[in-house]
Amino acid sequence: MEPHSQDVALIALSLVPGFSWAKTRAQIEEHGSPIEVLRARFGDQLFGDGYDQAILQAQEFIASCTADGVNVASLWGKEYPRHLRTVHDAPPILFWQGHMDPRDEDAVAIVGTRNPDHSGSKFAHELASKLSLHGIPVVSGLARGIDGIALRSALSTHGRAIGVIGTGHDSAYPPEHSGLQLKVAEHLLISQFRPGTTISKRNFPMRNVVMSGFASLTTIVQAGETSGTRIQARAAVKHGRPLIISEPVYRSADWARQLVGERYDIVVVRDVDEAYAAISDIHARRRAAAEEQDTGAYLVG
Amino acid sequence: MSEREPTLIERSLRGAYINVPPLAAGLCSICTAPTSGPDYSRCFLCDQHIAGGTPLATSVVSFAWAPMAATSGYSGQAYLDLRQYKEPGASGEHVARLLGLLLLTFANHSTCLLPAEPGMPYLLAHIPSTRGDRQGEHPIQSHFLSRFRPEIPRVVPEFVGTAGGNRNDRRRLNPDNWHIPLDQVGDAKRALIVEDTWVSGGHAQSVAAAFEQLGIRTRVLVLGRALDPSRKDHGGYLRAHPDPPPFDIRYCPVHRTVHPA
Repeated sequence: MEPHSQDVALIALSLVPGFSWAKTRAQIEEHGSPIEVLRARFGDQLFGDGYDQAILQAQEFIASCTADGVNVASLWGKEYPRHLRTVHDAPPILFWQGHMDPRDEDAVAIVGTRNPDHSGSKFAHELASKLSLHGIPVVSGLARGIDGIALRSALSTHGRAIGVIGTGHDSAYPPEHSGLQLKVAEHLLISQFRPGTTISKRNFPMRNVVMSGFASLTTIVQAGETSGTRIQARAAVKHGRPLIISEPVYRSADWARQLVGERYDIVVVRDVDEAYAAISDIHARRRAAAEEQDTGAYLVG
Repeated sequence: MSEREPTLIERSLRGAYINVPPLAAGLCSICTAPTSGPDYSRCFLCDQHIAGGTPLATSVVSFAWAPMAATSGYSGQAYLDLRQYKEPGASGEHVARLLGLLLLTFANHSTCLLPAEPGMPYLLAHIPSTRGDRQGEHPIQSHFLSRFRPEIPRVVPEFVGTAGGNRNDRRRLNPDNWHIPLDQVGDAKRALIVEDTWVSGGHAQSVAAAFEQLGIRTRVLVLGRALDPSRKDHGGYLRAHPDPPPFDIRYCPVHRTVHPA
């Protein structure tokens, strides 16, 4: 991160007590950049230079995180994941351990219940393994059940495992996943919550939104009527991102049937082979769309 | 009504974008935004534009609503797409959705958007940036208008006001800020002005007025009408009408209904 960039200015803004991203984003639109918003907020104080102090505080914060092994990226920075940046509710600041990789734009989120049955566990394991063997990163949330199985399977097949957590990097939830979290952090572990953020129920749904934004698509392996993964399903739909739902989820959850009935970009799959075929198709479609944009035909008028 | 399956890009738009609701009390009859209440048929700014007496766009058509942030079940994705597609290195995802919106809307509603009128040839125009810091072709031309048939005459109005400075000043209705190069107009009697985002309408209506003063009838096509959920009028409406239905490309943005097949 550059010493004094838009990055640092946005982090300085995020450290102001009572920070609201919605309000700050509107101010950035109005003033043009985080630096201009920071100047507008602190530049005309009568005593001392609040602007310089805010920048200094942000730089100290970044240095402190880095010293603890946690990197900081802002929406204005080069290190912020490009794919996550394209969704409307991307968090302004991201904390991460490990390394970013260009292949992450193809990453597939595998999520589901904390209490899977045998077939759900098998599905998650086989899909994560198959993706890993084909060099496709696996993203999940480090929760009990499907999330943990997906990440462990990616690791055991020497794939790339990416964790998105709902706590700061200095916490692990559930506690028994602290070892898994350390292993995933060697690949990539991201959080929108700064170190020191305690465990809070309201943070986990926000984590699901980030997971949807980071991944090229979301696969829901097993989930019930009240599963938290429906939040990720809704987020994917609002992002305009594809969603893959296993047939058992489609059969058992009203919310899943409703989403499919509303004809969003959703594929229902019976098994891992169908899921993998759907993922390959979605990736191929994305590449074809990019090429079509480059060559496009005259269609209108 | 056709029962055909939506295409893949339509499926992507269904969750991320929002149809402009049918015209009703409390929605501006020009720019479609929520007004100050059901007793008002125009929003404050459109009302001010009309009060100025300048001949404005003959009609304005918005393809979608674009809330500036997610609220009450409304996605903020359209607004982000509209902001980001023109930035250097913009993601193909932003461009693909907006291109899908433009091409599919024309494919489904061309006769409503551009009714055939013998002896009334039309031209295509867009509104260049007034910030003065953008070099080269505007992304709306390179990404979107390049898809229109090349034989359709193009006009790029020239901004002759003060570049830079206060954004709100540049956004005020003022046709004198724009010069229409007559050599590009040719025989056209209608102008289709394509704008990406309608925020206040100042730019679009100024350009439209500059054309109208030359006797050229104008229709402004807007990809997204920006709505600010923090405003009392916009936010109040969105909160009172939560969870919009999925975006439906069959819904005509001109007549604000799904026409019978």
